[in-house]
Amino acid sequence: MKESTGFGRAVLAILWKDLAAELRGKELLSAMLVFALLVILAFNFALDLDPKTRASVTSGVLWVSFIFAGTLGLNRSMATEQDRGCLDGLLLAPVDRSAIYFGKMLANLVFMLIVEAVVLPIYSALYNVNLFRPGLLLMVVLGSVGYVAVGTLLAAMAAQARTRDMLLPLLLFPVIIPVLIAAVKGSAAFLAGSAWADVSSWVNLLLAYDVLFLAVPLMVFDFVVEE
Amino acid sequence: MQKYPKTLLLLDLATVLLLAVATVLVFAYAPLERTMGAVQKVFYFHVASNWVGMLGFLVAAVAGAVYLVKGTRFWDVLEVAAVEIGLVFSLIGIVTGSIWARPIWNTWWTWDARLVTVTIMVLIYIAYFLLRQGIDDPGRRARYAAVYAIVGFLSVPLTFFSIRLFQSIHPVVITSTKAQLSPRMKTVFMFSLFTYTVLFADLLWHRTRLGQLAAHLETLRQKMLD
Amino acid sequence: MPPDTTSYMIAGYVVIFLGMALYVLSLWLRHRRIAAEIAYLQEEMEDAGGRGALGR
Repeated sequence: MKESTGFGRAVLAILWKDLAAELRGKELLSAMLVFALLVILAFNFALDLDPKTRASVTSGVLWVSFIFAGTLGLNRSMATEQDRGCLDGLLLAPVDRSAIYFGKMLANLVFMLIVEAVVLPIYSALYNVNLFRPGLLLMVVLGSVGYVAVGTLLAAMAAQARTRDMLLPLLLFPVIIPVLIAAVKGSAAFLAGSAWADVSSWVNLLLAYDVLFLAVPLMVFDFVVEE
Repeated sequence: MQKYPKTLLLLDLATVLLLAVATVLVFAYAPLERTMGAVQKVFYFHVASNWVGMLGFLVAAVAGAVYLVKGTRFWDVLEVAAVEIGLVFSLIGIVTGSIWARPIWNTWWTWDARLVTVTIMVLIYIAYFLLRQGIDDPGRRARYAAVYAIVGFLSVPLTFFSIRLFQSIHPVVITSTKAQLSPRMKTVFMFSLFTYTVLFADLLWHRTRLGQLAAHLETLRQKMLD
Repeated sequence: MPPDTTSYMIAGYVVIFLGMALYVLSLWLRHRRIAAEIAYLQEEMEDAGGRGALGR
């Protein structure tokens, strides 16, 4: 019992540290947001988003912008720890290493959800569609969890490499293909108002991915931060 | 200098012999397929190549896990060897698949679940080598590579499943040709798989020896510098 | 009468055997290079060790 509260407190402490640091500067959040909107803008002209095309590509456009913006956030979250030598301090603290992983993961998740919470209403207003459906929001949350779960682990590794900013997307994108497919297809199905039977397999796939890729880093994160 | 192990020499000979027999079986013993013609014979070694690819990535993931537990350099060397062989044979599998698809499906490429999964697998293991290249400290490089070999391999079945699902909703242009194998074909097919498994073991051994030799060279260089 | 797809079959097996041969060749070349370098380094070390002993 005592152990678990200690673990939870360590996770929350790391989460809070990241959020407090971000709230002071807001550099990362604003960068992620502007980037996400720029991606949507680029798609607007690249795909000529007239009402007919939009119906079929909305969820794809949204997810690509989330994932690109997410990469920015993931790169930054570990790079700053590295540059300021904060990671060494964290490692000296008498907490479970996986608490560090969960803390960082939750912080990245919060950043991504904030970006999504801003992008969704803007997209709704710009293109006159209602994106606030419970099913779509569920997909957004499940997809973001899966993306951030793997992303935090791989970002911690990429931060140690010589080519770190370049390396993260190369490591991350092929591994998260299942998340991308399930999230895009599931969101599109919810937007089209499909029956639950058509969407349930995507939800299940995302759940399976989320569970698997929250469990694996728990076991291997020790080896990533080990000196 | 490493001595050349006798078992390895025997394995070399067995591999060459099996490969020769398998080739003869494919061309002389396996019957000509009625609808596809001669190109169907590519199938035997094509599937065997992809089998070696999967086997390589599986061995790499297992070796990665063992490395994380034990921390001995051998498992890291074995892991690299398995990934490299898996990558080479996956590429051979993709190219031969394309060559088979051209006359049969009338296209070099289709977005079939197996094709896309193999392609994404190849991209994952190219990224694996980029990760290794980017990290200088040998201990850290080995640990990160092991983690990525495990994570990458775990995502493969999910990738396959998601693409399958993706297609079941989209209309499938080309249905997978469920070729019924005649008894003779089955024999040749099984023999090819067996041959390639032995070939994999042989290459894995050679590549691991090469990796150990390279590690030895690295320690010698370090000694020179000290 | 099956369609004549012999040329595709030949192309397929050329790729398979060429691919495997190239890989084995690359293994052999790498092995040779590393072995040569090790031999060179060991010689250097023996030389350096010999000189060092004489100098002292």
